Amino acid sequence: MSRHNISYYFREGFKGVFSHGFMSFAAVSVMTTCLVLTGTVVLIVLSLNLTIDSMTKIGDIRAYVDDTYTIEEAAALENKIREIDNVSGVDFIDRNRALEELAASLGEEDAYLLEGLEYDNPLRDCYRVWVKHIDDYTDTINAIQGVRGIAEVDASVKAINELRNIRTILGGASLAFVAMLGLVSIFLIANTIKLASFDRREEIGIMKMIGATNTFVRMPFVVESILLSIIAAVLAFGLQWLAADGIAASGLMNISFIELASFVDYRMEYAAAFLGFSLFLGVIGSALSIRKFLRV
Amino acid sequence: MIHFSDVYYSYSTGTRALQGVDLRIEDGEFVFLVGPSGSGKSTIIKLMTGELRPSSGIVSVNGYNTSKIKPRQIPYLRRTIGVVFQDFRLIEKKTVYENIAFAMRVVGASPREIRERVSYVLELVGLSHKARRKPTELSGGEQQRVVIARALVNNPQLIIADEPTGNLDPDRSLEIMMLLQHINDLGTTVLVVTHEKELVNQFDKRVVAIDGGLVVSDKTGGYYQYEQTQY
Repeated sequence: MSRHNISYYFREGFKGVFSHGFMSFAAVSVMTTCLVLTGTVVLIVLSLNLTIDSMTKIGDIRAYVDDTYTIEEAAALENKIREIDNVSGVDFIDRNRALEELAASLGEEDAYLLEGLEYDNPLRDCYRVWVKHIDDYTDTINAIQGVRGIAEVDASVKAINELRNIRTILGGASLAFVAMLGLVSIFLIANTIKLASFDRREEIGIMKMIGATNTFVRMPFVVESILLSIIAAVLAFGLQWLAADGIAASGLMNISFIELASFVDYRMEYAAAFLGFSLFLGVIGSALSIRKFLRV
Repeated sequence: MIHFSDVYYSYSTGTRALQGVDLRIEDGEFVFLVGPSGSGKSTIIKLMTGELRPSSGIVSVNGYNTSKIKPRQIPYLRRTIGVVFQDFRLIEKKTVYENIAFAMRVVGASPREIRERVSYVLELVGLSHKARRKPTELSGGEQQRVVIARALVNNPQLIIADEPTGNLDPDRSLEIMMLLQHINDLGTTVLVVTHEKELVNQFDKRVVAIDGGLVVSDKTGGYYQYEQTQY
């Protein structure tokens, strides 16, 4: 490919974007919408992941030791719990520390509620347990339950499972969403390029007759669709950032148990994904549309 | 060099366009290909430019065997041929200069090469003074000269002119034929497809007559030779 041709491809591609005004606008609009909607769904899925992760980090699994065990016997269970697959951390809280923590949480005002309990502590020794992977959450709970000396395990199994289900559904829905909107985008890009090549079919015929290769004929259209894709990706990135900033500033999502994924933290990944996805749509769209006109 | 050996071609509709054509045109020749409508002249041109592949037989043009040519080689075959169309096929939104330069851009020529060569061919066809005009601002004869310049600009081994005078008056037709003869004098093989016997008879050139998909006459000395063969 000669360098003189490359400058020709870019010149013609740029001209094409502006000369097919309305169709270019429609293709960019749909692709931008597709990217922003997809990006939003992905952000929601990321937020759910963070929320679920944060629940495991809180250490919400409490394994209570049998009342008949002494503190020393209860402390000896730590290694058995640590040996369970998927357990990332264990913290032993004996009944005395548990009472201290309870007192601290009640504050001075309500401290009288615990008066006298230091002589007859009703609290049990327990372990706070952290897991590595949320997907094996239920199995890990069962394994802890199976350790001899553990009387009861308290964990948010139901809540975690529900969040996991929501994440799975949203993940699947987002994939379907991406596929559908992707198809619409390909159709619109293909249509834009098809109209452009129909408009220039005589010129393409002449080009072919005087010895133009298919690459030479195709490249201006590919450049045009790449330019449309880049415009859509940049617009989508900006809109996504603005929307995320707006939502964060509004305080609408300040819900205690929801960990909101910040767009800024993922901006590089978003930029790469938006660009890659839109380029993929653009190239596929233009490749599909011009084949017919090359058969001369 | 053009070589057709026992070439048959049938369209998908079942029409037999060529039925065993044998033809040989050497480098540097000037040949008229004559025959009535539907005789197979256009099919012969399409076989030469790689638009069609023969149903059987061998077609060889400028070293390319178009019977077996791979699609990606077709552009390179076409660069060895300059085609002049009856209906001109110029790009209306481009100027005369741009139309000719475009043919060089297609083959990846540098801007300097384009400037030099386009100026030369414009001078050769006598249109240097109309380089900045659009094709629609030119007469039919001038447009055809632009087409000839475009066909020539990449220095092809062969010029195929398909009814080049079909849309022109007799004087302009003669001008175009004289131009083609001049190009032939410079060493380029010229094949003119026509059914204008008056024009053919003004030149003492080889005339290949085709009818019913067969070469029915191949002689030097004008169209009348073909008619004598027929009757």
